[in-house]
Formats: sequence, C-alpha cells, structure tokens
Amino acid sequence: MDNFLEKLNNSMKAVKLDLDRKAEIRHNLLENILKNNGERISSFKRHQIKGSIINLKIFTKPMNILVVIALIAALGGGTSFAAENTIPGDILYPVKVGVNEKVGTLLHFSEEGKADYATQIASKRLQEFEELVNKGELNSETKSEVEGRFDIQIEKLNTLIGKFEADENVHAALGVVSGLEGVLKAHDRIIKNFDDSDERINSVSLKVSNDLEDVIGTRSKLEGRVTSESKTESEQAAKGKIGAAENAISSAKNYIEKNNDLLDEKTRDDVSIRIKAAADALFDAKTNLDAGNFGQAFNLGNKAIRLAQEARVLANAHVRIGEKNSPMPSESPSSLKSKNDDDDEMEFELEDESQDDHSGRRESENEGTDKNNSLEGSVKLNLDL
Amino acid sequence: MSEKPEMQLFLESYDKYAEPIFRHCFFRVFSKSRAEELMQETFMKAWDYVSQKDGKVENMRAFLYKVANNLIIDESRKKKELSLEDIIEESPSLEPSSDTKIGVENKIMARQVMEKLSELSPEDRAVVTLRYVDDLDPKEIADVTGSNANKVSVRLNRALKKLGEKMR
Repeated sequence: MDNFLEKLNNSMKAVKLDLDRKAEIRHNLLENILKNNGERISSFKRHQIKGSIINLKIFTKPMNILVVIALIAALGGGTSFAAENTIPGDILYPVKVGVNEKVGTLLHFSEEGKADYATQIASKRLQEFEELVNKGELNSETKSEVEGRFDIQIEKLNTLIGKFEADENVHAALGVVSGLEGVLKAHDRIIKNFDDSDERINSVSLKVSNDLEDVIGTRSKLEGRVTSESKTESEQAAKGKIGAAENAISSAKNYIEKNNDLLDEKTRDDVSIRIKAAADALFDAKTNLDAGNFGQAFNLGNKAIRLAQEARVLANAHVRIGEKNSPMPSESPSSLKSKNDDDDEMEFELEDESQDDHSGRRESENEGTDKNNSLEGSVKLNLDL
Repeated sequence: MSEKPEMQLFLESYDKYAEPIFRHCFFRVFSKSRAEELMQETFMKAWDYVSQKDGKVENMRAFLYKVANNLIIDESRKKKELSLEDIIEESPSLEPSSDTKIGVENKIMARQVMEKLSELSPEDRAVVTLRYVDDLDPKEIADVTGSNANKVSVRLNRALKKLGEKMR
C-alpha cells in the first residue's frame, strides 16, 4: 500500500494543467459570466477584476512536445522561418503560433523568462492587428483570432504577476508589469491613430487602453512597495535592473540605427525623445544606487527599460507598416506626452542624441519586435537535443 | 469603476483550484483533454449556482469537488470504461522537466498508477483520488460523494487493500 501511495504521490507531479489551457478556460469562463450579466466584453475594464476576456474559438489544441518536434522536422526549418512574419489569414500563420511560439515558450524555463516571452508574444499579436488594419485585411475572423490570442498572453501575464506577488517577489512582478506597460503604451499610441469610425478597430483600441490603465495602476502600486526597501537583496535587484536597462537601451538604439533609413523624420524624433528619456532615467537610477536608495534605483531602472521598449516598438511599427501609412502622429515633439503616463512630468525636447554611455552591445532580453528575430536557431537546437 | 466582488472571488477560486480540479478529473477519467473539459464545466456550473445564491458558498473547495464528482459520475454512466490501451495512450502533460530522469520516472509511475486505478470500481476510484490526490479527509469526501464518513473510511480501506495486492 505504501508503495502505491508513494507512486501516486510522484505521479501527481507529472500531471499538470498547461498554462495556455488554464488561461484559455479562464477566458471562456469570464466571457460566459459577462454574457450572462449582459455586458459587452470589449468595454469591460480588466482592472475591475483580474483576468481577461475573449473566448478564443480558433485555437490550436495544446501540443505534446514530441508532436511539436515532429512537426518541425516535417516542416523543415525554412518553413518555420518563413512563418515568422505571417499574420492571421496567411497559410503559415498556424505554424507561427502553433509551432514556433510553442517552441519558444518551452525554451523559457524560468517564470520570469516565460513572462518576458509572453510580453513579446502579446506585442506580436498587436503588431499583427496593426498590419491587418494597414493592409485592409481586418475582418471579424482575423480580429477574433488575433485579439483572443493577445488576451491569452495577458491572462498568462496576470497569472504570473499574481504568483510573483503571492511569493512576495515584488521585483519580479514589477519587472513584468513594467515591460508590459512599455509595450502596451507604444501600441496604444499606434492603434489610436487608425480610423476610429471602424467598430472593430475601436474595440481593440479600447481593450488596449483598458489593459494599459490596469498595468499602470499595478505598476504604481508595486513601485510603492519597492521604494521603501533598503535591504541587501534590494541592492542586488537594483544593480541587476540597471544592467538590464543598459542592455534594453543599447538594443533599442542598435535596432533604430540599423533601420534608420526606413524611418521618417517624425518617427526618428519620437523615438529619439524616448531613448533620451530612457538614458536620463538610467542616469538617475545610477545616482540613486550610489546614494543607497535601492528601491528608487530599481524603479528608475524599470522606467528606463519601459521607455526603451516603447521606442523600439514605435520604430518597429514604422518599419513594418511603412512611411505611407505611418501611424505616427503629426504633433510636434514637445506635445508628445502620453496622457496615460503618470511618471514625473517630463519635458520632451528635441535634442541631439545623448552620448552613448553604455558599455557593450549585449542584446536585451526583449527582442520580440525584431523583424529578423526568428526561432530558426531555437528549432535546430531543439532537434539536436 | 464598479467592483464586482463575487466575480472577483469566483475567479480567484478558479486561479487557486483549477489545477487541483483538473488533476482530480484526470485521475478519474484518465484523459487530459476530457479532464480539461470537465474542469471547465465544473467552474461553469459552479458559477451558475453561485450567481443565483449571490456568491454565498461556505466551502468553495468542497463545493467544486462535489460538482466535479457529479459531472464525472454522469459521464461514467453515459460512457463505458476506457480500455487499458486508451489509458496508456493519454499521457500527462509533458513539461520540460519531464526530460529529466526524475520527470521520466514520474511519468512512468503515473502510467502504473493509472493502470491500477483503472481496475478499481468508479466509486472506489473516487474515494482514493479524493483522499490521496486531493487530500480531502473522510468527512469532506462524504460531503462530496453524498455518503457518510464511516462508509467512506470503510470503502477507502478496502480500496487500498485491493491496490496493495495489485501493486505487489
């Protein structure tokens, strides 16, 4: 009997609910609840309740890792690579979301790594939405697919953030929230420039705005908890965050320099302002670190990352969509202040790019918006295991 | 911004109990996909009830198990039992850690356990799973299954004896 119980206890560890599936079912549940209450999902404020919304009807079945590997082998690395820049409606799009991204998820073992990857995928979904609008290919089916898949990532992120908070790992929670904010802020800005008379565009715009509002609220709350810290762990966390901020700024700058010829003047200005603000935040972070204000240093490091990510997403949008249909607003740089930003008031001034005071050219963790980023190498690595 | 506390509480219950309920369903029906569906149905039905009673359920955990148990019983009455081959085909979700020696061993053990559990009657399987997978005590199991604590204890002992014989 003891032998059976021991085996039962060990076997339980092999039976886990897939995170994607958990998030999807939560979707279905909340949609059902809201429908019964006569509420519209698109106008639902996520911060009224933790969780997300859309019932994704188009969803590939969760795949066993062996099936994924077999599919990759059958398709070949070239197919996997070609799928990377597809959007809903393209033939290879299921390979992108059902194979490439599954592999990507499996290759991130830590929860912070999974959260970073989920943020990248959420950003990709919004990029796809923007491309669909730009190409005139947005219809109810493609909208439903991209929106639902976006919500699944947000759901995953909410779950992971909740877990970090429950584990008292405020730094990890704040890192995730901050990264997500940078991405959402950029996409919110891009999508708001589309035609708002289209109800489908409007509903996604509302969703992103609501999500951004939630994330800013959560970020502020977590920053309050971090600011008052002064323990040794906080010093390590602050140093780590400053290092990550240096990488994020360097990566954003590299991307922008590489694609400089594809950007118009307005976009360059817009992006430069954010990179400069990121560099300023980084400088302030280092100053606070030296002064022993570890919590503040951590928060400022996060702010620097957020701004660098925002700059990169904005640049990437212009590279993907092109100058003719650039979603960049036509206001002057000094009026470029996000109304959602509750950071300290910043005067955005057009200046020459600040001197590069960052060492090294290490890539940041968040490479999701890089057009040339593919999972080709990851696919091969997986097959070689 | 209006608060909806009952919805919030309910979804917090989902976040907390989704995996345990899924795992319970899995060890009862031995199908991962079906266990996911049963888990979803459990929470859908639970919400239907909760929303009518203004969210007042004293013990949400026990309530969810009760709902899940009833769904599984309904299912078993409609379908015949899975064959051993069907059970072995359905593998638990493979995590990256399953590639480790320990992960592989756990998966092998899961299959052995599923084999043995499948040989029990549905009623015996229910009490064994509720006790040793879900960590409910006999009183809670009685509440879930609509029985009494004494009968649960007796059934549990008999089931474990049968399993003890099978596992030699």
